[in-house]
Amino acid sequence: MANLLELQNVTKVFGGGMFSRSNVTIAADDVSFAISADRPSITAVAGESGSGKTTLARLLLGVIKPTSGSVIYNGRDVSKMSGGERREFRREVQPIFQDPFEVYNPFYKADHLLHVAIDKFKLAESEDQRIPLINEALETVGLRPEEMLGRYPHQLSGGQRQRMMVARALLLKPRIILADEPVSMVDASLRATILESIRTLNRDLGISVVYVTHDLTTAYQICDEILVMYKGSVVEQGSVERVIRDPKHPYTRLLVESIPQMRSDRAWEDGAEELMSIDESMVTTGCKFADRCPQVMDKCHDEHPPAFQLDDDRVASCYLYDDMTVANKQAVAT
Amino acid sequence: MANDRINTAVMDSLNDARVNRPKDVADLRRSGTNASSIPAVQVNNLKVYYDSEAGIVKAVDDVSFTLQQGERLALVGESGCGKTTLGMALLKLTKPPGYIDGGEILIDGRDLVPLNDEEMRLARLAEVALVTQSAMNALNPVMRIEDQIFDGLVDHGIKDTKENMRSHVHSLLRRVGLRDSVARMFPHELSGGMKQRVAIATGTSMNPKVIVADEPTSALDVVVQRQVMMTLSRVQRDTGAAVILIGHDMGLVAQFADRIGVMYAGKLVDIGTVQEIIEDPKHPYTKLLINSVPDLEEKRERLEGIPGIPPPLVDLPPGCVFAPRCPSVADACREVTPRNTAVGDSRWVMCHIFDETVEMAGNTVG
Repeated sequence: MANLLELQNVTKVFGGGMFSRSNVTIAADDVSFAISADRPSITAVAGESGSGKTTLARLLLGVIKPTSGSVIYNGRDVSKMSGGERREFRREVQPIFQDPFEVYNPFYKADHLLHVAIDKFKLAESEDQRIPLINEALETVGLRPEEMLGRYPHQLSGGQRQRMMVARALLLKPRIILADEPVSMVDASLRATILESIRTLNRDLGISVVYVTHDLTTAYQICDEILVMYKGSVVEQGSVERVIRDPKHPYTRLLVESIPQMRSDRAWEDGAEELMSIDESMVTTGCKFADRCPQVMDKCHDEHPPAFQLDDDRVASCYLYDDMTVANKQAVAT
Repeated sequence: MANDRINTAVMDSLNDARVNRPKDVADLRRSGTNASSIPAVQVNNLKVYYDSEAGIVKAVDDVSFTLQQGERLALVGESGCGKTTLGMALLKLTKPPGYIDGGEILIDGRDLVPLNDEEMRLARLAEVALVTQSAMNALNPVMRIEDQIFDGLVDHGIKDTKENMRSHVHSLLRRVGLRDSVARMFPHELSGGMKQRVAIATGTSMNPKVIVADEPTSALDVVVQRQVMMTLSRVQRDTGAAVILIGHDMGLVAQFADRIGVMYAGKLVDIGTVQEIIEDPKHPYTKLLINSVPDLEEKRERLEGIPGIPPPLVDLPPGCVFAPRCPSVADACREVTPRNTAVGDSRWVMCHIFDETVEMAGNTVG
C-alpha cells in the first residue's frame, strides 16, 4: 500500500534559540501518520487550541520544516525536493485557510485569486481556455459564475469567499486538500454548505482531504479517519466511527462529552463540577494529559505512553491499555 | 409641557432607584436574589435602525418579548440577523449611525429608552451587565484584575474599605472557580477561558438583574467552552439574574437556555421553550436552522445548509421576510406581513401557516 503523503516521526520545536534557554514549545512530538494513495479519504486532525494541529497542517504543506523526522510526498522528502518537484507538490497539495477575509487583497476583484493560480501554474494557454476553467470550478462548489466574477471581496459573503477558496484549490486539480479550520468563522447553515462542497471534492473528484478542526461533530459527519491531538502528541487515532462513538483515551472522552448536543436533556451539566477545578499547569515528562486525567496512575507521570493497538483500525497512547500490543507506527495509515 | 411632565416622571423613578442603590459591599451582598413578580426584561415593539447611504437598515424591527426573573433566553439566527444589535440595544450601547427608533426596554419595570447617558451609565453593571464575545480584549492589559473590578464598583458609588472591597472581589472570583491569587494578576497571565471567567465575575460584581452574554465562548474550544458556560450557569443560579445568551451554536443554546428566540432579518420569528423549539419547530426557518446542525446521533448522507442568503435589511420586500427562501411559501406570504401568532402557552410564531385569518392556498405544514 503506497502512501501519498506521510509524516515519519516528526517533531517540531519552536523557540529555544541562542538567547532563550527556556520557553521551548514542542508543537509536534513524534507524530507519524499517512494518507494512502489507494483510495481518497477524509482525515480529521482534531484537538483544542494549542494542541499543535495547525503546526501539523503547516508541516504537511511544507511551509515549515520539521526539527526531526521527515515529511514524505509520493516517496520523496518534501524538504529535499528539487524546484520542479516542489512546484508539482505545491500544485497537488492545496491549502484552504481558516479566515476567508484575510486571503483576499481588497484592491483586486475576488476572481483575481483564480487568475493568479491559472497564471502561475500555466493552466490555460489562451484567454478562451481560462473562462471555462473558472466557471467549472465555481459551479462545482455551488457558486454561480455570473454572480461572482467581477465583484470585489467586500461584496461577497463570508460563505461565498470561503467557497471561492475551495474553487481556487479545485482549479489546480490537486490530489490532497488541506483545510485548516475552514468553517470556524461561519455560522451553522453556511458551515453545512461549505463542508458539503468539500465532501463533494472527495466523493466525486477523488481528492483526499485533511480536515483540521476543533469541532468533533463536523469531523464525525464528514471524515473517515481521525487523529486526536493533545499538546503536540497524537493521543488517539483510528476510524471516526470508533473513536467518536466509543472513545478510549480519557482526553478523547472528555472532548466528546464536552460537545454541547442539540437535545433537550441536559447531559452536558453532569460531571461538570470537576471540570471547574482544573489547574492549568505544564508537565514535562510522562503523559501530557496526566494532570487533568480522571484515571491517572503513578506511571503516567514517569514516562510517555506509547501507542497501543486497540483493534484493527485504532490506536491510543494511554497506559489504561498497556495489556495491548504496542502499535507499529509505520503501519498506521489511513 | 409634555416634555416637562416626562422629565419629572423620569426624575422621580430615578430618585426611587437612587434610594435603593447599594452604597457599600454589605449592601451588594444583600442585593441579588429577590422574589419579584415583575418581569426582569420586557421589550415592547423595539426598533433599532441604522442610517446608511442605501437607506434605513432595519436591524431590529418591532421585536417584543418578556423574560421572567432568573430565566435564561437564547437568541439564535444566522450572522447578520440582528441578534447582537438587539443585545447591544438592551444596554443602550447602540452606536451611531444606529439608533433606537421606538419601543420600550423595561428592566425590572423601568424603561431604559428615555434615560440619558449618565442615568444609563449607572444602570449598566448595576442593573444590566454585558459579557462580550471578546472578553479577552475587554480587560485592560496594564491593570491588575482586582483593580479593574474595583473601578466598576467605585464608579457606581460603592464606598468601602480596601479589605471589604478585596474580600468582595475574592468571593466573586471564587464564584467563577478562580483562586484568590488571580485578583493580583495581570490579564496576560491568564488563559482565554480564565479571562472569560474574569469577565463574568466583573459583569456580575453588582448583582445585575439581567446579564447579556454575546457569544461568550465563540473563541474557545469545547472543553473550555463547557467550563465557561457552567460558570455562567452557576453565577446565574447564585444571583438569580436573568440571562440573555446570544449565539448561533444550537447545541450550546439547547444545553444552557430555558427558552429560545429565533431571529431572522431583524425580526423575532419564533419563540418557545428549548424543548418546543428543538422537538417541534414551527417556523419553516427554525426547521431549516435545526436541520443544518450536524450531530453525533447519525452520520448523514448530506449536510444541508439553508439555501440562499439572508436579504439585505434595506428595502425589505413586502410580506414575509423569509418568503424568498421558504420551502412552504404561498401567495399570501409575498403580500401580507405575518403577525405574531400564539401557538401555545408563551409560544409565538411569526408565520402565516399558523394564522387562521390568512388563507394559505392549500398549503400545509410540512
